[in-house]
Amino acid sequence: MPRGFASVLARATLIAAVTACGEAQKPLPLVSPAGPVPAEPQRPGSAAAGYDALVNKGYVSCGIPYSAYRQSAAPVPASRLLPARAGRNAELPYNLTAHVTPSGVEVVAPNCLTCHAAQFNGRLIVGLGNESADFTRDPSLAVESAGTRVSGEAETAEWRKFADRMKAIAPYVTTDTVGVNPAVNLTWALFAHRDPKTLAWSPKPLLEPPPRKPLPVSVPPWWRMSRKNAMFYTAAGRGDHARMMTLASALCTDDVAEARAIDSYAPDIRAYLASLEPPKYPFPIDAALAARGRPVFERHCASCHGTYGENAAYPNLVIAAEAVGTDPLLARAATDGSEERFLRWAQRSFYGENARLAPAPGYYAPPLDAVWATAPYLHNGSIPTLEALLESSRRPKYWARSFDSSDYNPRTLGWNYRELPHGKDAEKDPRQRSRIYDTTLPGYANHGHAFGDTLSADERAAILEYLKTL
Amino acid sequence: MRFTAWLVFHFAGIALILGGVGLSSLKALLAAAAVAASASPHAQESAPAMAAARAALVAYAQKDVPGFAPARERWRFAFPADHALHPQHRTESWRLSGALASRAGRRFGFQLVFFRVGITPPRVALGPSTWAARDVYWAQLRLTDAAANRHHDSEKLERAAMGLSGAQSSPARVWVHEWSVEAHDSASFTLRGAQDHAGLELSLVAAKPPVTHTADTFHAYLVSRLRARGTVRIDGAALEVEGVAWLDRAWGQVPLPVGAVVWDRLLIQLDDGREVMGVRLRRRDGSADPTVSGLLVEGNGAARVLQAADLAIDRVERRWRLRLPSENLELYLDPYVGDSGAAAVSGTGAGHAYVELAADAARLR
Repeated sequence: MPRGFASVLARATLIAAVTACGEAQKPLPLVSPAGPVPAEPQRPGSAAAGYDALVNKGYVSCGIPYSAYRQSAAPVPASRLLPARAGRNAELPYNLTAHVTPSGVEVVAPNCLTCHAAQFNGRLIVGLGNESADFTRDPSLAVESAGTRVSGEAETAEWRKFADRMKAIAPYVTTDTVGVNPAVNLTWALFAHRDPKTLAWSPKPLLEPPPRKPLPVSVPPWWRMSRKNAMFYTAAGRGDHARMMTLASALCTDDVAEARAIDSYAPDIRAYLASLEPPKYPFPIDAALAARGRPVFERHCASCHGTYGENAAYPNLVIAAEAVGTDPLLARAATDGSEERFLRWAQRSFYGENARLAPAPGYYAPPLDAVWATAPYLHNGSIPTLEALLESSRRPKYWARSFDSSDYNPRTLGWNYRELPHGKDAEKDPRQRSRIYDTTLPGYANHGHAFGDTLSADERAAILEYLKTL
Repeated sequence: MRFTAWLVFHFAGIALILGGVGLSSLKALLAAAAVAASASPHAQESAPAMAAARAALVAYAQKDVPGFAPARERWRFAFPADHALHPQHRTESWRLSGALASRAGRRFGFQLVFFRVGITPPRVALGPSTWAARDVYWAQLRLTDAAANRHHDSEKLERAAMGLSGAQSSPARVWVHEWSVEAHDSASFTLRGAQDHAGLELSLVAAKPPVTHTADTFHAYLVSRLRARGTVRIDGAALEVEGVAWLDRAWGQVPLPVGAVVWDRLLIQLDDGREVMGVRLRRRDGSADPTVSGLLVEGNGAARVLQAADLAIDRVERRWRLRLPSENLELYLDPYVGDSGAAAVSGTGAGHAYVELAADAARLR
């Protein structure tokens, strides 16, 4: 896969990954309380049809003309291909989808899997959040560069549509650190450039855009969808989840008719996501130790994270930011009024018809199915291992990892990492700097969730072993 | 050393313009045009034939021809081997640009470009004709005479048959007629280029290691500083000159400035030992501001990629301005002639530069 294009696509898929959403009609509050998140009805769908749509349909409707893509496309290794892809898509890497636009140009666009599929130990897992994507580079450079390979009037017009959007959002989606995702800012930037009623694109922002520095988020795994009553870290995604997911198309969806067409099959995609089983732990498990861990887990963790196995139960709780103590900026920005214009945009838009964005001032305690696969941890990906999550004195202040999916540590349940004596400030080389996770930066803090500190070392070891079984 | 500047198109491909030539029978047209273009010794007289040949070559270079290697994700760069031909790849370029001065202070600039297009893949046998060729070469020479306020421009196009053009290994050498670049080892080169009234012969010695790069469709390296010494012949006089040069090489599917986006480059060699390359990606239709990027090479050869947030490139009247706040640089580039070619550098740093504009391609038509 051509590297430059990969990052273009990754960026655009953010878009796909993105989420945010619409609030219902006027009187509904823009902020939800912390505490229990109630279930709401979801439209039924077909998981099989949903997989087909996910990997074959052009829901991100603008992209790079195939004629230009082809010139830069490297051979795709089998490990990056997915089954049951049709036509051109059968030959494209899993995170790209080709479709023919109304003007007759075949374009290649990023799809949801750019952020929502990843390798673990060398195996591609659909639904695992991509925690290795690099959003530290200006995405418009890659798209403009692709333009050097575009010719012909119709192709140029299609490329320009994609390039214009990427250029508009580029200032808001460039992160400091490789691996973290700017999805929230991306969503706000797109809202700022669209009329909420018509969804028409405006080259100039219609709302004050978000701050230039995105707050970092880790990409949660899709297999949590079936358990959660709302989407996103602050449980902001309420109402119809399928509609909320169609925001993944907001980079290119320029009118309500197109949005409605995508929404018509979105329940199938949601059904597919809800059908995803968490992967099985691929390394040996000490069954006796895990069995000892279960009651410790149920005593100390289950009240927020739920129980597993027989009689599983998940409480669907948002924990107030000050109670969980993790980096407060994401929840604060969502609820202190500074993002209100975006929440209102969603409320007034097509997306707000049956879904709404109503963040709570805290963080959703997630279900922990296959949590061992989802390092690094916390909503901002600030802690490289579960071992360090459970013992806060082990958390590295400055750290770096290889981003190799085989560089996993089955003892600590997370990525092997190097603890560094300094943060980003002391590193002059921009490439190296971007690979340092610096927990002293705003939004990147690794404090809070210190509940494991009160446990004995034996209890922590037993919980870690038990988590392998989830 | 290596950098992965994903989309920095630093070796502004080739100053070619895509004409309205269809792809059918291109190969035949190309061969005929190459003969026509090389038949006349005077560039002016052969201009229409040259334009047709160049257009055919560019169109042909973009066509898929099975049998050539795709640019792989990785290339193990090795020198001097990579100074030489890469026959398994479809297209390839050699580009030397620089600024020179005589002892009396008369200033010159130069750029010599070779562009190879493979027409017969390595594994396909050549026909029996002595005209049978694996490659066609296009070359362009610009010699700028600041005192006369003039660019001397010319170009040649020739098939690689009967020694008319070609490239060889050990020693690495590329030539079209009497224009040539030869590598004597990893770091030293000889350049020869002559036109009717202007020519040069230079000995070039690299002062920095190559900076290597693998992009989507090609492999490339650049040497951001070579010391140049030699002779410029102009209007019957021979002048001893010294100066600095910049080498760009690329092979694979080398970008051509024929798409919706073209690029301009500023190659700056500062007296403090650093070099800065500024690249401006520019939409032909002007529908958005240019997108800038670049490269900074430190005195010790360490290179780092510059993004849009790091630098700005604009025009201040006829001068070019490059600003790089993190290095406290605000540089003004004054081309010796017109708005491109070799340039003087002033501002918060001093030195020499070469301004390479995609628009120069149009001027050659």
